[in-house]
Amino acid sequence: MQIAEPKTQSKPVGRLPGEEGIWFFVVGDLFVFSLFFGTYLFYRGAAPTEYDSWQTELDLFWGGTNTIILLTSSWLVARAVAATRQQNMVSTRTNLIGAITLGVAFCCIKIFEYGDKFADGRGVGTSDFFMFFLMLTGIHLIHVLIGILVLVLVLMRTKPNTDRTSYTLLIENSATYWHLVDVLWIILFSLLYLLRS
Amino acid sequence: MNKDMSRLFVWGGPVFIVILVIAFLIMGFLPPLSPSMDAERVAEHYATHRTQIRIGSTLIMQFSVMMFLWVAAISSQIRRIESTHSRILTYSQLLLGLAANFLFIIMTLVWTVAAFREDRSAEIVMLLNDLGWLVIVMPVLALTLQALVIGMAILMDEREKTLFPRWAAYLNFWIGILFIPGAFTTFFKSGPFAWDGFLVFWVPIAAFVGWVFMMSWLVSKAAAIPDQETAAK
Repeated sequence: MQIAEPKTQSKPVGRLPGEEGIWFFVVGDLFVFSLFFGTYLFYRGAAPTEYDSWQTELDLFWGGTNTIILLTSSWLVARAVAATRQQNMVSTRTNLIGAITLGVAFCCIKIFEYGDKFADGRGVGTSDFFMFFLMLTGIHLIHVLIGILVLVLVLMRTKPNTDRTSYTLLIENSATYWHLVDVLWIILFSLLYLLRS
Repeated sequence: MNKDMSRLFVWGGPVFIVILVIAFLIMGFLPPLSPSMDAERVAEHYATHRTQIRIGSTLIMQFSVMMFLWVAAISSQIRRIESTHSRILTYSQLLLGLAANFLFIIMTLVWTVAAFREDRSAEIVMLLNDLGWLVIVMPVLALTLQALVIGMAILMDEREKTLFPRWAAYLNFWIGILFIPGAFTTFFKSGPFAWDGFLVFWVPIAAFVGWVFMMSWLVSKAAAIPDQETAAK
């Protein structure tokens, strides 16, 4: 699939990475997740002690590890973009592979966490807290999977003789999306794992 | 491709939306019935709104076909973008749009059957009511994928003056995501993920309405752009 680049004039020096459309999407997705967060906080506010007690069943170690994993992954993606700017495609490849691997690790940990919860008999119907936990992190997980797919696509296009301008656009768009996924997780982690009444 | 017809047909979408909203109000389904209502209360609603539900169902059922015109108009623009390469995005959008919008017919058929005879048992009325709500609220991935395909097609356009502005692609991606919570609604009888919930009913409905109007406007403009000899590579 060809990605056509937008027909713009030469960009000024301090430009926004990627194209305007991806930022529209990012803002939109942040808005959607704000609706989720707001809904969660609204329900939580109505039953704080109940939510607190269910929350103790979450494993902070795995949640925290996942946070570090995604942060590192975002850092590697940023390095990949920087490497592209220096025309260092080898470094770009390496960083992308690292980021993708960490992304997959995140998914594995999440699945392991879910499995653990299901084995304890916890599901979306167990309590409101678990409904939010499973649904919100689940929808986030879908975002992570999409992000991994996108990064793999970028990796496949990372060749020494790739068309520079359209590739730069592709990797910048993809990096922006991946950073969004990271930001969303940080907020999710804070709200679901850390926040107590 | 006859530009005029696309520009005309695409407005079938907004026309249907207006009728959909009015019909839901007539039927007393806005706000929706709650999935946690018991059979007696559901049957009572159908008994007191028997005529209204049949009127609303008839309106929606017949006018839902206008959504197919909307879908076709979008595909006709996608076909111009794909031009000689392929027809895959054109066909995908067409089929996904058909699958998604056909559900309005099933929804209303089921509800009108529930209202059809006065002596139905409450259990049966509730069953049919459940069926109607779930069929329109759950199979959302068709809509998500349809929006995704539209977005992909828009990004593929290599014309000087693209048929659609690029932000429209990202708008479609975003709207596609807004539909996703509905996929899991079978697990919930209350709360934001139930079929009457904020994230499964209100947000997707707002997204759907906005999407239909927005795409109609965009397709009208796209259809006005003349074909070029050296369009896509």
